[in-house]
Amino acid sequence: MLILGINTSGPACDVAVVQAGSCLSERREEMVRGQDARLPAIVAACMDDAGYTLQDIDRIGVVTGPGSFTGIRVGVAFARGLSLALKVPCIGVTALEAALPAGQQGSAIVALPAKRRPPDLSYWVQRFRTGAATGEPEELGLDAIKAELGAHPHFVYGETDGPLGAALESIDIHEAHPSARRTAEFAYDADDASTIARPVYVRAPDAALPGGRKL
Amino acid sequence: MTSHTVLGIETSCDETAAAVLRLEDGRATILSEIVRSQVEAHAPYGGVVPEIAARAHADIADQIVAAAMEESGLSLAELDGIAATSGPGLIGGVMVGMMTGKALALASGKPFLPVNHLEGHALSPRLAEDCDFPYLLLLVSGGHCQFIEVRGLGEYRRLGTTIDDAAGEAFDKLAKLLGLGFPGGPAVERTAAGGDPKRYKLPRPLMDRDGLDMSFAGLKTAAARIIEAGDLLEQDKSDLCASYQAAIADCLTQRADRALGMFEADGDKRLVVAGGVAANQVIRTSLEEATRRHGARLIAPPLRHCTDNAAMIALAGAEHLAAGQVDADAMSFSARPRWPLDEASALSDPAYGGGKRGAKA
Repeated sequence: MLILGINTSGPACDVAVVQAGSCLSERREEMVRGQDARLPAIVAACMDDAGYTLQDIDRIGVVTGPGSFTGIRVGVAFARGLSLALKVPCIGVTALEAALPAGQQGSAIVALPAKRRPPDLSYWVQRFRTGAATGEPEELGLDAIKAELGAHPHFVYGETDGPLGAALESIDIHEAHPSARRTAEFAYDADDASTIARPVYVRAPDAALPGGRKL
Repeated sequence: MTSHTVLGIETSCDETAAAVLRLEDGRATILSEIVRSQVEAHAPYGGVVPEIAARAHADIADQIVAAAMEESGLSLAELDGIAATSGPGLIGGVMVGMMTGKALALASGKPFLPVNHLEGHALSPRLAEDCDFPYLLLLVSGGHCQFIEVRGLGEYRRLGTTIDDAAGEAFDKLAKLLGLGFPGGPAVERTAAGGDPKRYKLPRPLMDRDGLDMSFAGLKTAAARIIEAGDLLEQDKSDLCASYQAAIADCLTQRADRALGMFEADGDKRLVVAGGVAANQVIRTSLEEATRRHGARLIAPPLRHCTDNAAMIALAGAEHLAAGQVDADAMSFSARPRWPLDEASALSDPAYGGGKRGAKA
């Protein structure tokens, strides 16, 4: 099975082509904006590198978030467009799934930075058991993660040199970031290929009702 | 005979739309057209919320395209190109439609055609009839309010524009102040029925000045003062809506009058009015009178093609294809929140908008 993985949830365009567990090609360009302009060319180049055409693709995996709202939509809209044209499944993979290393055993938690500006520090968090998610992604403050890990130790994956690393002195964090390659691998392992990828925002849209109320 | 069949995608505001259109020797036939409005999702907020709009587009854009393809009875392989609104508009939504279009183009090997939403409106009268160039266009919607001379495909000259709010925005703001609901235009028009348009003295800014620029921000402030000053009874609300509507109609008509006087055309002189505000009957009647005074004709496309739609986007794409104007680098096009039709005028003499996003018009 030939799988195209797309990850535009962070400040990059990240694309990989994976076949039966081995990565045939991988391209990543860092960018703060402009993913909408670069993604098609990077996908085309990655297909060339792999020695296949888009028509050979059996499945698409795309990171659905959480992350940059715009980035997620660029990736998901593009992946769903490809899926419609190529008549292949388009499988959603969360940014936390896409960061979890292959072959992880036991219980694990992936924490990726959400709000980075002190004192507002929060993390996107998802819990796993033997490589499979046990719940949906959520946003937790630094203290809430500390409390949870104090009570139930997990393997922790994420950013090692950020505030979380500093706060969790006694617990090692294993460096992990979302990648298109892991996205494709997750899509390969997915049993349910019938549900189409949808953005995972975690946060409600920022909108105020007349009078400043919120829904 | 030349024939170009194009899929159009529109997601720049609060309608998710797709259409398949065939352009044969300059004559357009709409093969399919699907629109999904988000009005209900935005109604509680009294206006379009960009993030809610972007999310709604992302949920259904591909399904709307699939439905339009299905209804057309064509496969992607039978298309000559794929057009998508790539600006101006609410950028989150624009990106969804544009990326859907780029993906379809990349997978099918068809050219991608990034379309300026305003060009779609400018060409919209050509959906229904042979509307030869040149003609005058009054584009009047929730996001835009400008007079444009349409001289040919890709040849647009800005004659005048609002320097602050669009007329449709002014309607929405009054509706919000009076709690009439969203979208504001139809609500204000309904409430204005039976009202006295002369009851309230409302400003008609810039009327004493040369040129065709307009301003509607002061109108909203004047209405807000009246509403703050005391409890309005139902009749007062009707009178206020009627007076407000009359002020907007006067501003647009006086400018239309002047524009028609300046506009030289051999033979058939036409003013095309497009955008949601064109649905307002008082404004339409007033513009009709102005065009008659100049021996000209007012063309208002049917409402579904006056407001945001994908058929006009497909048409703009097809016309560019037919003219051989295909950008080899279209796949690298960056969605543009601002994209004036007459870019030269907007750059040299920006009427409003600025900062790093650039001039709006």
